[in-house]
Amino acid sequence: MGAFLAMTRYPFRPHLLLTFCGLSLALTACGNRDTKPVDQVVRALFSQLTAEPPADMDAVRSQLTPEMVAALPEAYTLFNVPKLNAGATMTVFAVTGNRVDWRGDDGVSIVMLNDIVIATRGLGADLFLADAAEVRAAVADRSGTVTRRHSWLDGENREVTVQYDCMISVAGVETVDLISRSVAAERISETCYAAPADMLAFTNDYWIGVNDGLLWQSNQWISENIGYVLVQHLKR
Amino acid sequence: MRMSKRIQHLCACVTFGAFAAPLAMAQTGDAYVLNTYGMPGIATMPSAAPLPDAEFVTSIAIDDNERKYTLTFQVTPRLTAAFRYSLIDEFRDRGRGTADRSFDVQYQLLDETGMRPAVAIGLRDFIGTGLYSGEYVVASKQITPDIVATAGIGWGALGTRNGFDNPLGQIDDRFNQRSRAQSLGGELTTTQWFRGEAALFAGATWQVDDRLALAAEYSSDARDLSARDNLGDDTSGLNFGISYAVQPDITLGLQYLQGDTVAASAHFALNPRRPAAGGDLSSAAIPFAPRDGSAQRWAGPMIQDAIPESARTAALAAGLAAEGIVLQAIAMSSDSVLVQIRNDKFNIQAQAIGRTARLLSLTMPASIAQFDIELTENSVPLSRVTLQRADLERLEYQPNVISDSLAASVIGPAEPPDALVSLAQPRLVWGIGPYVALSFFDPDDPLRADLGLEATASYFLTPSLSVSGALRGKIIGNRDQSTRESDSVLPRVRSEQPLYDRDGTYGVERLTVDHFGKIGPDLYTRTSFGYLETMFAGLSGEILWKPVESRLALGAELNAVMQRDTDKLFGFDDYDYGVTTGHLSAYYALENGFDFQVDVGRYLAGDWGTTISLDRRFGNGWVVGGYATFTDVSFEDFGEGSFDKGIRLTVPLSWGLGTPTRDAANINLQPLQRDGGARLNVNNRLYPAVRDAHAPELSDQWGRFWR
Repeated sequence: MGAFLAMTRYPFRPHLLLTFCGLSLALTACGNRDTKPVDQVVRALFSQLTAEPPADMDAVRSQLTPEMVAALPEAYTLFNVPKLNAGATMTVFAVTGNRVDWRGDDGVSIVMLNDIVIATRGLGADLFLADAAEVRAAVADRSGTVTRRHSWLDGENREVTVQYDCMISVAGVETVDLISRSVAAERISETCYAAPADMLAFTNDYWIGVNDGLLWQSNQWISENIGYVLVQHLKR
Repeated sequence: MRMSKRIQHLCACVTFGAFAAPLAMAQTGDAYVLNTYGMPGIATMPSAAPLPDAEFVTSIAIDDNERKYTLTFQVTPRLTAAFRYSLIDEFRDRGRGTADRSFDVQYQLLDETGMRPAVAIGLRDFIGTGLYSGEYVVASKQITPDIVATAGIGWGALGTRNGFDNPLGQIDDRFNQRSRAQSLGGELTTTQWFRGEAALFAGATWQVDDRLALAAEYSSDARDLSARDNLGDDTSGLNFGISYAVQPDITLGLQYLQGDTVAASAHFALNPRRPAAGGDLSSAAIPFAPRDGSAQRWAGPMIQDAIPESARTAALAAGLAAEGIVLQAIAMSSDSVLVQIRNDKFNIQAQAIGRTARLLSLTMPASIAQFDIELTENSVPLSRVTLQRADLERLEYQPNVISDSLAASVIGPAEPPDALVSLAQPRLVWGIGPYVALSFFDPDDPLRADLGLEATASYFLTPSLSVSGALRGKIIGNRDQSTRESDSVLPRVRSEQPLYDRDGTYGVERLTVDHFGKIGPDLYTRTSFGYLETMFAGLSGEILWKPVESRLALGAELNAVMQRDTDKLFGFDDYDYGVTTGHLSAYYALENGFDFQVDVGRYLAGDWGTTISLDRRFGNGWVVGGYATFTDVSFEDFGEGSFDKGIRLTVPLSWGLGTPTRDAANINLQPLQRDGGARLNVNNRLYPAVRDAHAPELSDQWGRFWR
């Protein structure tokens, strides 16, 4: 099996941790006199300072040779979150019906239903749940409108749900580079608008193999803080 | 000398401000302008629009004679409150400076709609000596998307330029006279509010772009704190300001005041509702293992029915340990399992329950249909969550999973069965780590700090009976340099803290025998004996009544204590002071997230009275609150400040780090620590722990079950 590459969940932001460090130090002392908060912050700061540089898509891909990918014994997927400057390879962890829980070795989980992302965990501002049951069929039909309902936990752990109306359209045939081979794929776009005007609109793209009708690559919206995740199915 | 001192103050407070600088990535939404008092405003005058709900801002404003440090909190969408600490170099021509603490409130009476401006009423410096005391009614209107115009009428300090007869005098003669009250501070200055001459002020702010804002105002405040007299009407009254957001949450400003003074300001904003870390960075939990065999792929042989019970328990304990959860006891029947767990990791208890339920789905045989999970604290079970395994298998990743699963669960009282098997726990728990201790508001040095090492240990004689201690050694710091001497006429139960800082470089923070128990369905107890805190030792007992689903809790605490020596060792010779102190307490968790608490009883100095507290609690563990204590000690005997009051904050570290931890930073900001209305600082009071594990809290944060 090819090497897993840890998905770095947050880009290096020392000034943020430093200020929080200060905040915690300031606050620690006056109250419960617990030493642990200082500890925790110092450790977190240290781990950030010593963390390896984030693994972006190019870095991850450069470690995968066509031979390695061709020799993989099981389904293997490359995930990339440009906004976090993070990338990781993942394998199938659990399958429940058509729902697949993809994981690497760093605590991140991306759950897809028929290759449509319905949840993420371990990224921070995760997509708690997407009700996107109609999407895959509409993508296969190459047209139509669907609704999605996305929910997040807000900063106070309350569920926030937003409904999106989405239009499916065909963008053209492109070549998808899956390292060990290239696939001619039709790019299908799904453009989604939320009823509340202050929610960002987004466009998901799905690359469907011209010859096999399989979804080989997709770029799917997660949340405002995380942005999109690019999913490449190196081996299905 | 004076210069270096100035810089020293500046540095201390810039760091204090920087502490509060947030890491929030999420944008705040609407930009707002704060005045030099840290309140919504123009340059120095107020404006009517509130801050975003829950916004928490630390402000610093400095001019050639004055430094103001302000904490501002948007308590509710309409109510803004601020606490301010000011240092004035030259005060009323006395040849010396002064330090002052002040509180402001502003309430938005009307929202801005269509043609109607927003209207607010405010009290500046409404408790105490009242250096800045003034009241106002102000209206603000958005003229263009970027320009807000403001006009208002002020009284007191805000009615000192071009003042005119108080229009309220038409209603009642008494409004015409504003007396200069003699006060030790602390008292509400109600007899002055809206009295005396009134004056008009006006101004506008222009939000040039996302970062830059300009402000101009005509001020109705003609005071000059350095002089005995006011500036008079010969100064222009025109003030100008420019502010620039260097980051979304950090704004720097310059003000040009009265045509002759330049002031600089900085505002550091954060909002408890926007976690600095963006969200929960805890590793994904394992999926629920369905009983249809499909979990074989990742769960391996664990899900087979032939596994012996002891192996299942061991696997469960190991899995929970990896999640930072301790399996304390287990009882298996033919179709259900009960576990008692102690959550050491997740600051939201519902998340610990979710993780436990998943591990039960992995480790329990298919015949087990029901999971009962009891949360414990100090080995006392606090609540039970009953889950049907089939519901969890069916609902995972389904739409409406949070509400559906909550509806299918029962949150009830803990009722451990007889068949409970306890698992051996480590008897000794210890740790060594750094500590930082701060003290605020010494006029000679408003921020003092000590850094040192602390060693803590607990030895469990039984699961609910332990011996615990904490030792501290200071490495570096300046808290011992305070030269403030207590002038208290009361027993000096708190006011000689500087002596403890000076003599107790190394010492015993606490050394106690503690017992926790549950003596009825909803009755919890705590007994502590020994060196309870740095200044007192003795016996402390507490009992709390709190049904699982209740928003009301009642408690009683009784302590018999003696004052410890200032060297923080074992003696009691310095003071020869003993007191019996205790309170009856009522706690109520309001539906809107506010917690109300009333304590009635006897305080450390032997005074009798009442403490009223109001805390805003956020769903992520943040608490912002305030309290005031009134006792039979006269305001005069109490001394400066007149009565005990303070602001308290709890900042969960998970909010800032994203990683799950139950640790939180607590701050108690007391403008003045004196001897009246002082309470014992005993560890492990019952209510906070019990509340976290009970129904209102668990169901409010149930979404975390599925993370």
